[in-house]
Amino acid sequence: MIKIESRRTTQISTAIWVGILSVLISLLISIIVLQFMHYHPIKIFLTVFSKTYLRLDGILENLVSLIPLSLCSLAVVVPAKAGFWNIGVEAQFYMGAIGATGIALAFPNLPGLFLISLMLVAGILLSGLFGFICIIPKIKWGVSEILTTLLSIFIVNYFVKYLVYYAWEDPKTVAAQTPEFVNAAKLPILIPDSRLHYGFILAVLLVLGIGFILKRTIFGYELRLTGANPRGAEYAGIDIKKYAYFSMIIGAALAGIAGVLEVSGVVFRLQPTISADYGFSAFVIAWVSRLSPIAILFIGYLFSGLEVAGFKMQMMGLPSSIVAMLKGLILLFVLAGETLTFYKFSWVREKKKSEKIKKIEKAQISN
Amino acid sequence: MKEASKKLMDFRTIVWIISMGMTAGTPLLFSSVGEVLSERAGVLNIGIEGFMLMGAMTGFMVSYQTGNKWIALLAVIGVCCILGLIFSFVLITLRANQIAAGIAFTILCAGLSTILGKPFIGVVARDTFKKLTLSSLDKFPLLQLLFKKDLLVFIALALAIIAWVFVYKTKYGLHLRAAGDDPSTLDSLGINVIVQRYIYTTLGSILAGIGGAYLSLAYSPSWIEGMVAGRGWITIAIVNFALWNPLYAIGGAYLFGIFYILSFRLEAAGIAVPSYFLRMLPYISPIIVLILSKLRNKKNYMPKYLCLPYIREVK
Repeated sequence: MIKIESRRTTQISTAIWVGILSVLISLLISIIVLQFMHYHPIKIFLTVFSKTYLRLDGILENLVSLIPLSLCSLAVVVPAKAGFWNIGVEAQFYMGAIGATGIALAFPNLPGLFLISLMLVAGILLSGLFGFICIIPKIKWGVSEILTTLLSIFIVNYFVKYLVYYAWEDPKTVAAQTPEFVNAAKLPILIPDSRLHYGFILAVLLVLGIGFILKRTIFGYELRLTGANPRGAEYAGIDIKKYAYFSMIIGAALAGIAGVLEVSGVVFRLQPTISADYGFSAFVIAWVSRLSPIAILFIGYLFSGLEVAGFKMQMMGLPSSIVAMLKGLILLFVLAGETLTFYKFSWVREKKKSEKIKKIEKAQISN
Repeated sequence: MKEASKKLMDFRTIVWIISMGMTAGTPLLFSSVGEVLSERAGVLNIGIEGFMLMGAMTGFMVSYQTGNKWIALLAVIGVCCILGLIFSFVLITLRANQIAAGIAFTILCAGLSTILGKPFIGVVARDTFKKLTLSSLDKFPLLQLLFKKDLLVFIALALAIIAWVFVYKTKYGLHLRAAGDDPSTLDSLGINVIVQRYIYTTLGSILAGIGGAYLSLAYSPSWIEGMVAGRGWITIAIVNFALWNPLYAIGGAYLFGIFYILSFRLEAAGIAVPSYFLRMLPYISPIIVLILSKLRNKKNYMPKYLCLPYIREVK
């Protein structure tokens, strides 16, 4: 039989091995599925992945989608460290984008830096408030935050549709979108001839800053303690509710910042499709990174490449949902493989009892 | 006389809404009964949205290719059984985090169903579940309104009642409840907790798949990617609201079915709210209903070992 012993420590090397193996197996499975559907996956995969990961313009494009993905992943990590599930990152992302769009459309005459900071503040406030509303039912009445955050995605989705089809509709086009922002509301480009904007610096600083706060400050320590051992934290005099609210507000605000940067740096208007499923990608990245902010930057880069590759595959005739499938598979394998890092498996052969022992046992039972 | 007829009209409208709510609630009822079983056994199946998507896609695909809805239903059961076993293996044997793995599974199934179902978008269904003809009820229009439905509506109702009898009145139901409430005692009685959890998680997955197939074979006979539209998440709210009781799940499922109907019906009734806000109704109402039910009922009915892997202490 298989004997499972738990290990006290997880080696990082095992974790990395599990990750690499998960990615490879997931790729293999999706290749099989695509081959079954009569596409030519291997050829397309090779060209697309070499274009996205090995060429400079591909790498810059990856960094562009790393901005929202890293911030959204942080939005999963901060509440998760305090013991809460934030699965509605997608909704909070859109709330941030809505706040920024509202300001950009309402005050087009403000000077650039001031307008952009105002958009950022509005996005943070709106998404933070939304995160706060999502966690209230959990704290007050014990309604799971998993449900409120998940269902909030659909609610916000219809709100965005209302805005782009109805309230803030672009009179010039028939497409579902708001009018384009004025130039002052657009973030400047960081590297010429690419789409990489100044939001990248903000995103990296935020990831490092939140990583520092979580690891090295009292606030971060108490927040992690709340997540790891709520009862112990309470006995230690920590206000658990405060950390519940704060973790969710901070997380939602981070997702909101991602939304602001996306509308003011890449799309320049609100559309119901500005997020390419960032919410669930962020969930995958956060868990594959094992909730470590620093790992998010690297794992997030790999996944943003996948996101970019998805667009290219669509142009070459492959269904882009192969990316969603890959993400799900990778996370599933990483979670399953976690057992391998936490537990030690070994074969133990059950010793056959000799006839003599069996006789003794029988005698004991009959007595 | 006029007032009386108006009242009758109103009454008729209400019966109509309830009747449509029953139909809209049937996929929710299938998945809720399944989710009750797996949560009672201690496994939170958050991948239910994924199972419903796979069920809807498989059902439509097989029904289109074979031209037989019953074969399609069998195929759904087969596919969801295999997927459910894989899911159970990850959750129960490998002890993966149930919530994270459930979300991963949903993402995976959303992608997979979109890829496999791509050739079937916009295709007209060949064999679907049609409303039964009840000629004996011709004289009673209201009854006919309530009961003229496809067979699966009644199968779902029957399943919920059977599940209730099974869970509360049989020995095996006791084992099932113990697997979620007190697994170590169950283990000491010589009953394998792991096997129990495997059985009910897989059963729950199959029922969720049938719920999805109801969408694509009876409710709106077609396949569109993401057609489940959050019904899986609402299922989890229903189970919570129904206090993990299959009988109450009937009420919960029909209630949220009615909210679905209202979100379309109120618009036609000429309410001055933009339709996008009415469409939020099925997603806001579970949260509000859950809050109200928690306010009324403080006792915690949740299975005590829900979401916790069972690890036998080896001395």
